[in-house]
Amino acid sequence: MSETQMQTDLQGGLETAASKDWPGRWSHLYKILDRRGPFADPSFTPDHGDEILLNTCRVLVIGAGGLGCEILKNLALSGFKNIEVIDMDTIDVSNLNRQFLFRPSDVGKPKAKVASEFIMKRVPGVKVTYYHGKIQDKDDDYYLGFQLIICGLDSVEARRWINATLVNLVDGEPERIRVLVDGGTEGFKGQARVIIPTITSCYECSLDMLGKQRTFPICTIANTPRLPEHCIEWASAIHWPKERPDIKMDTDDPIHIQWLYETALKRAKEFNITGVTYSLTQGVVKNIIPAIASTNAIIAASCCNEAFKLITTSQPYLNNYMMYTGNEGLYTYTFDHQKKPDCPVCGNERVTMEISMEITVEDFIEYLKEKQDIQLKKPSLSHAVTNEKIYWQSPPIFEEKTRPNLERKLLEMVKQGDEITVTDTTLPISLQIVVSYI
Amino acid sequence: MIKIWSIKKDNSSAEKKKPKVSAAQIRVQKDLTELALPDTMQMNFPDEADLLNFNLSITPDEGFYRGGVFRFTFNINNNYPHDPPKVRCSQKIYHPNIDLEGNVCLNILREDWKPVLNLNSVLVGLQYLFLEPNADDPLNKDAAEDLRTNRKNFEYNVKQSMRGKDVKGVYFDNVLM
Amino acid sequence: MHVDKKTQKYDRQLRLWHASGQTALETAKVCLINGTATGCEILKDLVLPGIGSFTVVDDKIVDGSDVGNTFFLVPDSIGKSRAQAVTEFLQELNEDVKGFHFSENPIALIENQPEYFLQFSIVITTNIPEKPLLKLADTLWNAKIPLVVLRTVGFIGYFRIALPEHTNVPFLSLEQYVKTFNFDTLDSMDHGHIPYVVILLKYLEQWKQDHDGKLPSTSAERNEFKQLIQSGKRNADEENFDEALSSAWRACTVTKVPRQVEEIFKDSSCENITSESSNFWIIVRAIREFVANEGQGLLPLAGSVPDMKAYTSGYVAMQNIYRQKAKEDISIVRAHVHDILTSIGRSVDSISDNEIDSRWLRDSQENIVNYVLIRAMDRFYESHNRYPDAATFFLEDDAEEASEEARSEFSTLKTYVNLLLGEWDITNYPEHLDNHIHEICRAGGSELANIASLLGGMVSQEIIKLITRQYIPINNSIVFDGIRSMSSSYIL
Repeated sequence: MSETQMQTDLQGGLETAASKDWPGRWSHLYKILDRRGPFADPSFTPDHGDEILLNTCRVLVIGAGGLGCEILKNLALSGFKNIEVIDMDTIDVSNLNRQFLFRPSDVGKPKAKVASEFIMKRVPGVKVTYYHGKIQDKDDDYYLGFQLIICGLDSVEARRWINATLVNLVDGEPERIRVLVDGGTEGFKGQARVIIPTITSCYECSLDMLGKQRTFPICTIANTPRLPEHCIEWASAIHWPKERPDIKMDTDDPIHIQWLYETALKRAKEFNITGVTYSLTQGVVKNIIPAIASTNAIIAASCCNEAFKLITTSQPYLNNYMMYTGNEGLYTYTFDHQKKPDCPVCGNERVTMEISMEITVEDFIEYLKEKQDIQLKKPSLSHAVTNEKIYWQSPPIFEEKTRPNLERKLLEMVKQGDEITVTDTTLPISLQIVVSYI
Repeated sequence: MIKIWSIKKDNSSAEKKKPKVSAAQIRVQKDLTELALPDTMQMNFPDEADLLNFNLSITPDEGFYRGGVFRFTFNINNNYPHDPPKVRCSQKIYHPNIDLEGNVCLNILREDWKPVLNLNSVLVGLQYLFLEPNADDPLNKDAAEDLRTNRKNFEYNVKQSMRGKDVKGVYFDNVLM
Repeated sequence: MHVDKKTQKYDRQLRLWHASGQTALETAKVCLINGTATGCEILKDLVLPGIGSFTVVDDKIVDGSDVGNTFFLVPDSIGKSRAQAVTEFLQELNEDVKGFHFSENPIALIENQPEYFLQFSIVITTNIPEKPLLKLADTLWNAKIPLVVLRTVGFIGYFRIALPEHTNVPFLSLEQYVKTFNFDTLDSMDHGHIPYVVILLKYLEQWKQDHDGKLPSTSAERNEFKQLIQSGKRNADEENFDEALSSAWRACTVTKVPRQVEEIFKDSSCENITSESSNFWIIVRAIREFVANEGQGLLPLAGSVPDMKAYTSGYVAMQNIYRQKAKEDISIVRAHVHDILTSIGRSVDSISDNEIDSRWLRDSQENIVNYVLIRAMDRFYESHNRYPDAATFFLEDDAEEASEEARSEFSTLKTYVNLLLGEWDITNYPEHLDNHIHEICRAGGSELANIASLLGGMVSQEIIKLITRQYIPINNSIVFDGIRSMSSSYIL
């Protein structure tokens, strides 16, 4: 994938921004920004509309899809002048029912590029730089360069990554906190939330709230199919590996989908099941999530409203989760999602321990077991960066492999300032120990 | 701007070494180091640095399948424990809940998986399949029918299949130690 | 396999409302009165999924502030007709959609030619004063055309859907109604149109008879129950049976009180009702009593029914049974409220029936103040032809410095608020009422892009639900508070 990143010329961008205003442009926003509000944060000072609208606040938008297009539009209209957008995808026909910055002629082009160009053309004075690529390509300093990050992603994995990255970024220094505003939708439902890394609950804390992907017992698929989905799963999970073991299934390849569709259809006929269609086949094997313009608008606007309130302090911000359901009436549930003590991302305890340079691994483990404040029983240790095993209690194969290390000095495996990951049945997830030799 | 942060301009902290291990990996590490492996199970890692892909062999010491070594591959993705591990039997065996391609019918590997479950729960589940094959949730229909209608005959067929012989014309892998 | 371009384009929504919903959408004609930021956001979310046509009625000339908060305008639009300018930009979103504009004064049009609006399947108004609105509502109501009334100001948004009702049929209890169906004697057409709720209840009854009155609980039992329903299917195409099958798990689940409501029930304010207790907690306590007694563990019924394959008459009959039950439940709750009031020595009419009928969650009590304020703001507009607009002075120090203008703005709005509270018999003052009034003065009738988009999304979602006749629309008003990020629905 070709990497294109435009350089942000901050000063130049701002000068053009100011000259592109016209009378009345910000009059709606000024009402709020120029007047004190009874519910506003005490730090809010009115009459600073210009400063806020022209400030150097840099916002990162992750995802230029259904939510991303809406987010970019809303930020631009809310006075944000310096935006960057990341997205690794190219435009597909099926995006056009909601991703309103794209036209049929844009199909195949990078989303991030087309979206940023569209916004800059439509809303004068807004600078939108873009990166067509993966969020994992960027390092900590890149993310530290933004005051706020808004996420409009459809992938759990990418969300977990950015969440863990921002939590790890803090590293005990509050000034390294970068607020994450996260939105997600599915059909008529969605949620918007504010994550203040290490302070509020994080994305990982709420992982168990995710709707489960619909899965069927494999025995049903194999023997007692009742639904069209069972036939499709049979075609993809059982029949494909049997019939075409050498070909890797590509769910983006229409010929593969066609094969699965025909196979599923044949099986459905055998069992008198109706409802197998090409579209359903595609939906099941690609796990397509229904998406519509209105829900994206609601969630994206809610995210941008929070971003605006956080940056301007003109109103209190969401603490910290709003769930939205639109398929049966219209219902929102706003609540304080609690931090999970055993969250593997933000629940990790990190302690610095002063230990002798002479200590052996075995003695160090004994020391950990005796330490009253951590209460470990059978700790297993790894180097947190290299992931090298120092001593593992189980499985036997690793216990035997690492047993000789017990006699070695810890210093041989862990340098000054390095970090050790400790797991133990008594720990909710793990304990990070930063080693300080004395 | 809300006061929880301030903009940090210097990049001095860039060289700090911080864990690059994903949440999934830490969780797998926790699961592995807390495993209580019985004598009837063994694990091996083709690449010891890669904790997400490994093999498991089960040697049941009772039941229909006593005397065999049954091999499974485990494949864990970065979405663990949100996604369950992918488990396949790498041999062709005669078992009501395992088909000829190695698919395993175990509820906690699919529809009943929850992030609070761990590798130990999966191992216990697999072990149980060999002690108590379940004829009501069949993946290999013939084997299930066999077990349901004639236990003696089923036992005979299992023994045959474990020796690498055929059952009703289908040949199986020799799994005897 | 050749999937046509249109099916590809709409794939992600067809998975929700299928071809039938899409056809309904593509034949719908929507009218928007006033091309405001919020109005344009609604149209965007309807044009993208492929509404048949839209018409913008608006005689405003675009000014700088419109371009500031509306994505479908550019600086060059300033000085042009707003109806035309937004229509052109909205039209670009989807080549399948026809866009029309009518640069006419909407109020004059309503006055002089209300029949103009009868050509549409749905009419949306933004920023129309109360008087012409009433006339429009009347016209549309008689023609059974839904009307959406919408208003955003600052961080607050409100909309209401006026939906003409269907005709009434005699009431029956659901149980009796189910008994009117003899599945065996129905012809194939009728059999294919038995509402799925009836199918479920019929087979559930049969199941319970065979199983000592118990519900299917294990997964094996549930599958068996599904088989039972399946066995009643006369042919593979009976969608109503499929609907019953897909809801079968729900029938097997014992309905419970949602966790968050249960927590409210456990709150000490609900436990210890005294003469000082607020109306909200008295109502909550009454509902708790209902759940513990008459409700047999269930909350009062909401009274809405999901769409299902059925004859209209059958569906309406079902709906009425639900509504009747809802009414009965509410009257029981009301009786509990009266008992509690009597026991703490307050007069039984110190809590109005209206208050009991609105939703009972914590946020709705707080949010109703926003509705009062929007209505008060409308009254203000009627007499001043502008919105309240002034600096705030909510701190004690401010009060001394506050300008004459700011004071008069605040007190005028407050007068309207008090008038409304009086008219609606609301005697318990919403908390921090003055602060809310200040907030409205601060907003000065402004329309923020984020709130416009948020309300636009909500309204377009409701319109899609109404047009596709799938999913359950709201009944009948929503207030969204962007300060606290919460919404509430009310029957107003």
